[in-house]
Amino acid sequence: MDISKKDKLGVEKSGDHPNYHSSGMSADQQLGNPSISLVSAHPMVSSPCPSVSMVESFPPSLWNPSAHSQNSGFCGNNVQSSMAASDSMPVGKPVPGPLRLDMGWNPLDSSSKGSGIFLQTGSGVLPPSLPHFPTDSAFIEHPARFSGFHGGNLNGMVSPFSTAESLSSYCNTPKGVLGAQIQQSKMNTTEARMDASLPIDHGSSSRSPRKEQRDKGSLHGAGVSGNESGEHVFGGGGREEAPNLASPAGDSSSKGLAAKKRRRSDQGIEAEQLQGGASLPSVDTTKDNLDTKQKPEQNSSTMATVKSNGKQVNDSSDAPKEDCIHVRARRGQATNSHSLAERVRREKISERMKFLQDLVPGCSKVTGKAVMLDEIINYVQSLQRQVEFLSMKLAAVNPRLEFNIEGLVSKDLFHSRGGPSSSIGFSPDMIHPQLHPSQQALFQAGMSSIVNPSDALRTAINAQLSSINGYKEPMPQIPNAWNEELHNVMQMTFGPNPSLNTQELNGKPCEGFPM
Amino acid sequence: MHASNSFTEIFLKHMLLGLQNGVASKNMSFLQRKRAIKLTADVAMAFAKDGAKWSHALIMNLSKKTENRTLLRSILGREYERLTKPCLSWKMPRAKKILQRSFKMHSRIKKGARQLRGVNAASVRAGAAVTRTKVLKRLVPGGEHLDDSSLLEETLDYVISLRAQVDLMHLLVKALDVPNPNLCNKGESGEFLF
Repeated sequence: MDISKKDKLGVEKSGDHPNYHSSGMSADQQLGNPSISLVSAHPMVSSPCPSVSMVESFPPSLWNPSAHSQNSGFCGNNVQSSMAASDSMPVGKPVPGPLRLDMGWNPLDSSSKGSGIFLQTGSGVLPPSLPHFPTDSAFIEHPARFSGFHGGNLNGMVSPFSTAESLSSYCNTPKGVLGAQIQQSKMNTTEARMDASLPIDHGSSSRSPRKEQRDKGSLHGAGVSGNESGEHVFGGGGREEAPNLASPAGDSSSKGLAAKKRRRSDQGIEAEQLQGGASLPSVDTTKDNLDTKQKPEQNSSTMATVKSNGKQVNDSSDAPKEDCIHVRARRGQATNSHSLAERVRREKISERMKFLQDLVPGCSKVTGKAVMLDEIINYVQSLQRQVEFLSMKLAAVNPRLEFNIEGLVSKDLFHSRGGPSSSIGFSPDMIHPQLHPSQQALFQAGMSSIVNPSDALRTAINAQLSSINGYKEPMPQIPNAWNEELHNVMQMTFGPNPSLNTQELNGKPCEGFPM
Repeated sequence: MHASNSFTEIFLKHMLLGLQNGVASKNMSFLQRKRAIKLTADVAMAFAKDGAKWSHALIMNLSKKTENRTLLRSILGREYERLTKPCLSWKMPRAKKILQRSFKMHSRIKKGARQLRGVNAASVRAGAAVTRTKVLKRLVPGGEHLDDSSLLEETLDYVISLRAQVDLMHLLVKALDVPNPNLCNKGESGEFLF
């Protein structure tokens, strides 16, 4: 079913393909705006990711042949998919009309979960075999950084991170797209996918480590992405596995993985650069630097390899080749193994600092480790203080402390998922009449919207980090369950008055969030 | 989206569980209640993000105090035993610690000898970074045993989690705010949201 639909879409969209790239880039820059306009619903933040996920949850309705222009589609997608998603909950039906497919991100979107459409739209660039490509492989690459976690209302902050990770997998996409891609990251799904594709990746990882192969698209891209996803998974296999990876046994595979990680981190770095508005040349240089950095990172545990490679490559060139896995000593720098390893370590730290810089608000202009650390410390302290203050507020807000749990979250949620993890049984007749259906709607809408920005951020960060050191996100994938349940609850409670819901959902009170 | 959904779900669910068990319908003083709520929130956050070192460390730190244990147990359920077991990977063996300490002393001595030539900007900057790193290690749960790069990574993760926690608690505050009984059911319910 997906295949046929994808084919249909591919045929229809292929004509529009050339427009998408350019529009994709401009869409990228527009990402920030729709997020702000979305504040009403919730700062879903410029994350096409949520739109994608929304898309995913209603795949049958999404295959709208009436394609929408890339540009507006992309931004509109955000707005509309979020609106549609929130609307669909109370209405009980996905709204296919406003939902737009991100046709623009065709080559990149192959990773989007279940959205065969995206894969298909990319068909203009990539061979039709791609659509069949499991979303897992697609996910791979994006320099997702952190295990998919949602940071809540990351209003201003999330935009750099909300790119879809799916976009990163394909090299040939223009850099602007990559940037946007990062912004859409949806790490969580990626990670699950990565786990699934790990066995495949292992096999293929040893094959084509070259980045250029991705440009050739199709299988290569798939393979690479698969590799990368495998790499993610690999790293994800847990940090515990990382040492195993490091052991000489996994040397060859780790080399392949390192190469892939390099590529992934390159994309991440590229996206980052783009966000910072850096020009392409700078991206290339950083990419090169990253190449050297990333390659040895994987092998850093195997010092011998680094050492020997470093010595081999004594004729340091200004532009290190990308197909080597070993560290190249840069021109004029010592090739001592110690200094090489230290350089690797320093670069790793600086990369992490860059992520943190994007995360902590108001740190873009700050340079230097000490000041950055200062800002980070202040931010963490302020967040902790906020938690304290909010807990005090919570203690005060409801003196009777009747937490109407049944009312707040759908019964189904607790019963279906509360079973394994909590032994506390809820009596079904605990619904207090005092809890307003409006509160419930508010809460659920808030919950769904809270998820998206954090999700996007987390995904972005996760992808990047996991590419570096195999940080694992063990979150279970609960496909559509949340949406479905909310859906059901909304249907139940809002059958009689759907208008109330939209009103509330539109008036999301998230502007109060201090960011 | 789904995975992040599940993060929020787990977070929220456990938070509400904890709130109901630990706080609701109990006669507690205000401060006690606030403490319990904060504990619930922290545990729920740590539990929802189970892959990170800081989450494990946070739960361990919280479980060290005996008064928290019942609440922890009720929230974590079956996972309680697993999570309160000390994670062996980051309790370094003593010999290694001694080695590290001696190495640091040695490098400090070397640096001291070098710095007699004069304080240059680089060394000052490096020193500042080191002190701040120490502060950060204290802030992030479980950060003492980590090296710089993984510390930064954990910080990143922790910051995201904290943000989500803050947002979720904001939401809870707004949702649990008892509406004015004067407001009628239909159209006016939107008012109190703002």
